[in-house]
Amino acid sequence: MLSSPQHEATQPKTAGQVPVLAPGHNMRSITDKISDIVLKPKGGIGWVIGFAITFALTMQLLFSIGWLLLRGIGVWGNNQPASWAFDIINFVWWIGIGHAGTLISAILLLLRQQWRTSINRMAEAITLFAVANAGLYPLLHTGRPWLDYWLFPYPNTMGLWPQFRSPLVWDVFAISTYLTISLLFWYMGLLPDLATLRDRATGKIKRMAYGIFSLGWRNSARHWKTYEQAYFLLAALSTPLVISVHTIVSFDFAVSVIPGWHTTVFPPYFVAGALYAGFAMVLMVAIPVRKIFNIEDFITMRHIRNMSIIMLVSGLVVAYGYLTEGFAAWYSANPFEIDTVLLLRFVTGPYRVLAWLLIACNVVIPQLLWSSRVRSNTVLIWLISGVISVGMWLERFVIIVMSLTNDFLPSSWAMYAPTVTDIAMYTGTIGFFLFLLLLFIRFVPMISAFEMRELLHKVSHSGDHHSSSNDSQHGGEVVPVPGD
Amino acid sequence: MSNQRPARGAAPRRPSPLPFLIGAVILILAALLGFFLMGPAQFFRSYLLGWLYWTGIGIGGLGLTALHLLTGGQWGMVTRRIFEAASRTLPLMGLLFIPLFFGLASIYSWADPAKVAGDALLQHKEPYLNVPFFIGRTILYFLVWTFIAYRFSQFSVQIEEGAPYEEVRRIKLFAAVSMVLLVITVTFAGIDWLMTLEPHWFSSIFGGIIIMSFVLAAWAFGILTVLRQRATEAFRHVVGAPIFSDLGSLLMAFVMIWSYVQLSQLLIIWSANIPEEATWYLHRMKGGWQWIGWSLLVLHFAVPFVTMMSQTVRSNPRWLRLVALLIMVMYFVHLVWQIVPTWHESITLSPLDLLITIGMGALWIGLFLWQYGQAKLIPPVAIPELRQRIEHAH
Amino acid sequence: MAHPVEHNDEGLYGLMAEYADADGLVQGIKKIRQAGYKEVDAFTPQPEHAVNDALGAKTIIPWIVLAGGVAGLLIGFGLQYWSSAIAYPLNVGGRPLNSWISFLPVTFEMTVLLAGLSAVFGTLALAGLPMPYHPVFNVPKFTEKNSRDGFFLLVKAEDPHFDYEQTQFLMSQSGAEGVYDVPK
Repeated sequence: MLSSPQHEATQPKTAGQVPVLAPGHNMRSITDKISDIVLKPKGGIGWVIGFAITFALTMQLLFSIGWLLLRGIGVWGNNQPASWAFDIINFVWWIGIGHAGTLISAILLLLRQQWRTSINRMAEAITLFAVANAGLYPLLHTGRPWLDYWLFPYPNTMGLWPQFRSPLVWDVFAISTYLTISLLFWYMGLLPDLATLRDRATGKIKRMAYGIFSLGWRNSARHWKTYEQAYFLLAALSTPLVISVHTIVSFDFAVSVIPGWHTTVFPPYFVAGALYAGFAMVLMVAIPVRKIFNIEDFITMRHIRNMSIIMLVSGLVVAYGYLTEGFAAWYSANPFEIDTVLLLRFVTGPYRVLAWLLIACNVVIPQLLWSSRVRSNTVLIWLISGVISVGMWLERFVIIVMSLTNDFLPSSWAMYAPTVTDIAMYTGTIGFFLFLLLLFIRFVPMISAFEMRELLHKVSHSGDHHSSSNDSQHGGEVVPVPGD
Repeated sequence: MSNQRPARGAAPRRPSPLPFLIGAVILILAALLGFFLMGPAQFFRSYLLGWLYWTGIGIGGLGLTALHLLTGGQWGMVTRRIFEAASRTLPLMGLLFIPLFFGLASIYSWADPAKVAGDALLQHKEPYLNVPFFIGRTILYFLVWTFIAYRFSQFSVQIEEGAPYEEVRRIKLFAAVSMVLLVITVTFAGIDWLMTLEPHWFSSIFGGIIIMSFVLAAWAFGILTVLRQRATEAFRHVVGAPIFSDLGSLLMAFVMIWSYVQLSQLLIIWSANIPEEATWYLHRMKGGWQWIGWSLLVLHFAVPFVTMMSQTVRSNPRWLRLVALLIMVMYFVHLVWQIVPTWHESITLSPLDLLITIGMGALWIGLFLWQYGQAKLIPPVAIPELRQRIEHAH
Repeated sequence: MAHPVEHNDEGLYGLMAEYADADGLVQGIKKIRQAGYKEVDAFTPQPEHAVNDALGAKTIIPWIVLAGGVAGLLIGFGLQYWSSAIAYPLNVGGRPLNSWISFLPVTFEMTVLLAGLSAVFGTLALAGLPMPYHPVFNVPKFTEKNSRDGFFLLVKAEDPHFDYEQTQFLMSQSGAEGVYDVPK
């Protein structure tokens, strides 16, 4: 009588008692199931079709970049005053999408959240591919990307140094650090699994390839000791890093004096927006992938629900950002603030339809996630995630284009419209993103096998709740069915 | 089952009269000093500071209670009673705001009709910044907080006693909605009480700064309370190095978020350098106030952050107590830095500031201790898990 | 159990024992270390704290990362201070040459960058990787199971206590499921 409610009471948030790992697995079955996706691919035709389509879109991206290099950035729709438009919108959109990956792999590791294990690898890959796409835009926007090394501080014959008071220089450091650390974090997590693939692969070329990339990792306990600590420290570093990156992206706007850009709530509100869009993207990828590759044992409904909840929370923070931004604009009593942030944006401006659409997509529709019935319906979650992705794109459009085209002097107001090249490039980056994702799923284990083996012990030891004591381990044990 | 039921409701302990007596005497003394020696304006200004110091801890406690109801975790098992008790001090703190209604004009220039008459900006803001609406909002905040605080205290006991799953879900939904309400009300409370001291100035992240200040202060207060009782029967077997380390880690996390929101505001305003915003920092970066600013950077951020990075240090109760105490002191310094430069160009601290903070503290502590004794200090259901963790560490 | 027909200590890197699970491996390590062996290593498919503790494995990686972070902090701020205030002093909107508030973001990024690089490359350096060839891979059972569900213990031949027969006997007595030669 006394002991039965204990578990529920100390840990009320077991989300309907769905386990983080379906019962009936042991170390061998986990390893085999994960590595077989790579080593013995099934259902090749679907993958080939997907590959063909995304490859075509990648070619479209390369073609539009080639056209841009040939003709200059005049082929974009940017004008004066909208000197920033699709390029920065898509840059911010992509970089935001990347943030969920780092959050899942780093913050949830620090918080000892076990459910992260089966999705962190995929989320990190999403981060990498999204950041790669994001990085393209500012590099190309310089107009002469072959001179982009000028952005870095190095002794040169001109005697010039970057202007370190500019957020655009901060961006250079933030994005390159983020890309480097994300890549290393991802690779470091991958190392033991590459060793598994090396040991399990049959063909000579595969063995060679995985052998080279696994660097000769041999699961030595002494190496694990260093490895685990280093991995944890990387997580501890990545957490403030990911926050700093979108903070610095928000500084690109906020340290200026443009109404609608300059407001102090931008940093936390941009970070929340990034997580919002990022979790939407992870869900949009994870929901079909777990179905297609039959890995619903590993990515369970628990994961989907937890991610929906985080998405809802970050969405509420974004809504809070809109609220305080709007209030501060009115309260400032500054006519330009009131005009740009409130009147032109929502009532009289040329893009007011987009602004209302963004409120619908980011604030209204996602409130459906309050319902636990919605959170158990993968189709609905997928659709809501899509709506959020659109909404977050619109948010950047409204912030950037609206504020630039309707600033202080009506005589300098103008309209902005994207060109075919803009759109081709944007859809091209989406194709390129999916293209990389398909390659990743095909050649690299998309779930961290060694961490799943670790999780097996924790789950089998402590039922289904958070525990930090797992010193005694039993190999090859079968997970008992968690309660309920 | 029934012997597990906490004493709450059945036989409430009587409050100890001593702290209330001390508090009342000090406050009356301060009022006399204020009205006859230093001027009523000084009294009201110091009253705002002292009142806000302790109210903030109550509000932070309420927020942390909501957070723990939503996320769970061992950190809350040893601290939740502290935060629940702290949040139940809010009704009294609401009553203690009443004296300020009589001195609004000497604190807030927008409450002074003479000043509003000559100021176009204040006239624009009048729909929001007027005395009746201000008082109405403050009453509303306290009604909302009191309601939430008492519901939370009931719910947490219900959950611990093994409420059915459906009930738990309902409670969590209530906690989630309350969290939304809390964030909005505390944001506007922070704007009302602090940001409007300089009514021309505005910053949209200000609510976030105030929320983090309160949460951090409540957290430091929670750590101090846990450490004070760590040798008692209730706490001896359930707290130890691993729990201290958890508490220290969260302290570091809150310090980092606090610094993050502060830095965001500073960097954006400093870089944009717009006169209407920069003045607020100008008032706080000269006349000696800059040293207070530097001390915030060093003692409110750098020292707690660096010390709490080391697991050895944060597992050590002596160090942890020192850092938590430092946060409590710097929380006061931070409030002084927010409030006092409004009226004083050079660094000033009135004896009334200290006196009223201490007097208010005596009242608050008395109330807290009374509330704190009303339920089992550690939820019985959490004890086996905590014990296991502590024993495991040895 | 292993049945070496002949053996030659010259060509031997060490002996390897296989255990059913981590608990067995921990027991094995304790036995071997009690017997005075120092050149011991263990192999587990995932990090196992009990095994690490039994081995007495230690690491200095936190200090390497800290050093990297401090270096990044100093280099990051130093670079900006030197280039903005000394090498190329430029008045930007009346802001001071040492605009330390504006220098914080890059300082932070450099701190994280160097700390992160030291974490990854420090780990690789401490583990002596990349090392594509290693004698343990000569044991077929090891390559088959080590990265999946095998728990192995290695005693190197260079250990002063090493004696083929005696060590092999000790290992098989420690609860091992099999003892294998590890040729060089």
